[in-house]
Amino acid sequence: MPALDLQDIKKTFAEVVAVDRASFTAEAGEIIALLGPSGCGKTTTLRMIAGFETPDSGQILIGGKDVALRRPYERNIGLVFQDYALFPHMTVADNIGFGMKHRGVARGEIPTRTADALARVKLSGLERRRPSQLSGGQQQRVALARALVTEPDVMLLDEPLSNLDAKLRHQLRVELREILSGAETTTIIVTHDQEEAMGLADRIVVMNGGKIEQIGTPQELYARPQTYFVADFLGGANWLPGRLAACADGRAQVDTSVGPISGRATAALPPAAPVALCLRPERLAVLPDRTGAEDYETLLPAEVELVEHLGANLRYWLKLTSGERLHAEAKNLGAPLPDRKAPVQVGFNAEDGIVLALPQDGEA
Amino acid sequence: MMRRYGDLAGLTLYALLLAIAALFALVPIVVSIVISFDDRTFIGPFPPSEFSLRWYGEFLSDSYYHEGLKVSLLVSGIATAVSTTAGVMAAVALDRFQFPGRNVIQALLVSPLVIPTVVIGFAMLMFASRLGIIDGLPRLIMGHIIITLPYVVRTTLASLTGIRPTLYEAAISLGATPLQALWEVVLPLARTGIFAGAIFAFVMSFDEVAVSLFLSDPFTYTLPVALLAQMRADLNFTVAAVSVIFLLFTILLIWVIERLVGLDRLVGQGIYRG
Repeated sequence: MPALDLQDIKKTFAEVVAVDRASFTAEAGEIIALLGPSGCGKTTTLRMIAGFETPDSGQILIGGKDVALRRPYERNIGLVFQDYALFPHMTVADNIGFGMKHRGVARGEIPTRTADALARVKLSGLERRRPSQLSGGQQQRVALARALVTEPDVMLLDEPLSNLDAKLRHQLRVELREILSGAETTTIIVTHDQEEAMGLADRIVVMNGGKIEQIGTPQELYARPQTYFVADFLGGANWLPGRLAACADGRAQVDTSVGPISGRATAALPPAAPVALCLRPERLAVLPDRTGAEDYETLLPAEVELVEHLGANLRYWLKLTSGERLHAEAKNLGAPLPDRKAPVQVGFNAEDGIVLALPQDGEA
Repeated sequence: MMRRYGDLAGLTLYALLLAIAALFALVPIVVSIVISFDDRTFIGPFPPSEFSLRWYGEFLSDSYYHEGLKVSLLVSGIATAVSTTAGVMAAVALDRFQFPGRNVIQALLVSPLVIPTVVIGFAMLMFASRLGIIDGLPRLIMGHIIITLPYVVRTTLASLTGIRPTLYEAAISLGATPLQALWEVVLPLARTGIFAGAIFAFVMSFDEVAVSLFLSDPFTYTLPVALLAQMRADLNFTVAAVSVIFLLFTILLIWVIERLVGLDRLVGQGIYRG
């Protein structure tokens, strides 16, 4: 039995469909990320699991029991808000004790469990502080401890790292992952940041326009996206649009403006549908001369427009002779950078391209 | 160089105007303080030549004022308690829920601020007599609740607006019922606004004349009504003495507020920040 089971959840606000027949499950201890752009329905989904919104139809099962109509305080949920929502008039210890007090934990047990929770988030000794005396990262961890200490059935995190600066975010992402794995609590993280989702989650639920686009592990979603939206939202992508010429055994041939190109077909493609070939930047080889050219099925002549030095990586901005622009990423191995306007070859194989149906107007 | 002289002249004028405005406000108060210690029983040349505490003695020994002070404290105390409780509850409802007629109710709750107190006094008198209430005390309390309610509603609403809604949701998600979340999280954070509203309410009620004039009866009258009646009957400087006591009382109240919450928080940002 899954720890959390959403079945056909639908929610409409004033005739705008916020969540449209969404279904997914989370196994006990699993970390699931709800990923999508703003307005995709991920926050509404979270608020329905928490009980702040009631679904129009569908079921929300926690531990096998339908809680869709239960109030938030009647569910055993731990919530970490985007703004942390620490009670400013209480100390750290009182913030953490609040949930235990209301969930009927014995009074004598509260101080020890508070200390344990603080130790788990590496903030021991800060019991007497006020939230205003803590840094953003510390506040976030207090919020985490406050939610975890009541041993909730499901933990919900709303954009947990979005209020922190870039460097701290990286560091806290690793810590967050450790704390969540250590707590072995089923966790749902809402985020619009694909890196955060891929770094934190066991599985990702990609949402768009109220609908679930695809559910899978980060590797699956990246390597085998089922829709144009998923391929475009996760990671970088170059798109070569065209017509589907042939499709068989997971291989598809596309007539593009640069000629016929083969790629992998990850989803069913309707015949003669407008499709596009997705080429990940790191799967494109930039060849300054003919050396190594024999390794690639497809070679496209191009010229270098710009090379961005990203430290560990180099990003090439390329213009194909036929006019399309592509970007490629390669490890920075210390070789001299090509000049601007230098002629190069862009090489890739059928394995490197993914053929996906282009969204119809009104979608994506 | 000319610009500098211009600036200086402007600044001097500005400072002068400020000083005049301050004097305008302060001089009458200073005069009444001095007069309250005047030994003469008639209005003579200022400053007085002989000083005494006779008007303070008059105030302290006259049971007419005692009765007024007692009624005033009773009416203002009860009215403040009731309007604070009701006002906070109303503000919470207005802040937390969207319902049809919400704006109308909010306007109604605050409307006594803009309705002339004479009108309120007369209306309350009529209303009370319809209800068969002819006793002064309940009438006064009713009237004072009406005029003090807007202050509590406004200050509480202002500080509730500054409280992030996620704090309430966090409390609910941690197992607190809505009532517990309100009591343990929302109201403590709004305490500056509630406190400010209660103090305003008390001061406004204690000061109130027009409504009290209508609602008093021969045996139940507030201190300001007593003063007014005494002044009409026999003008003496007891009024000045009582003014000074009023003034000291206000200063004491401000000092208490300053010690408890900080005055700048009370009149400024505090109302909006919780």
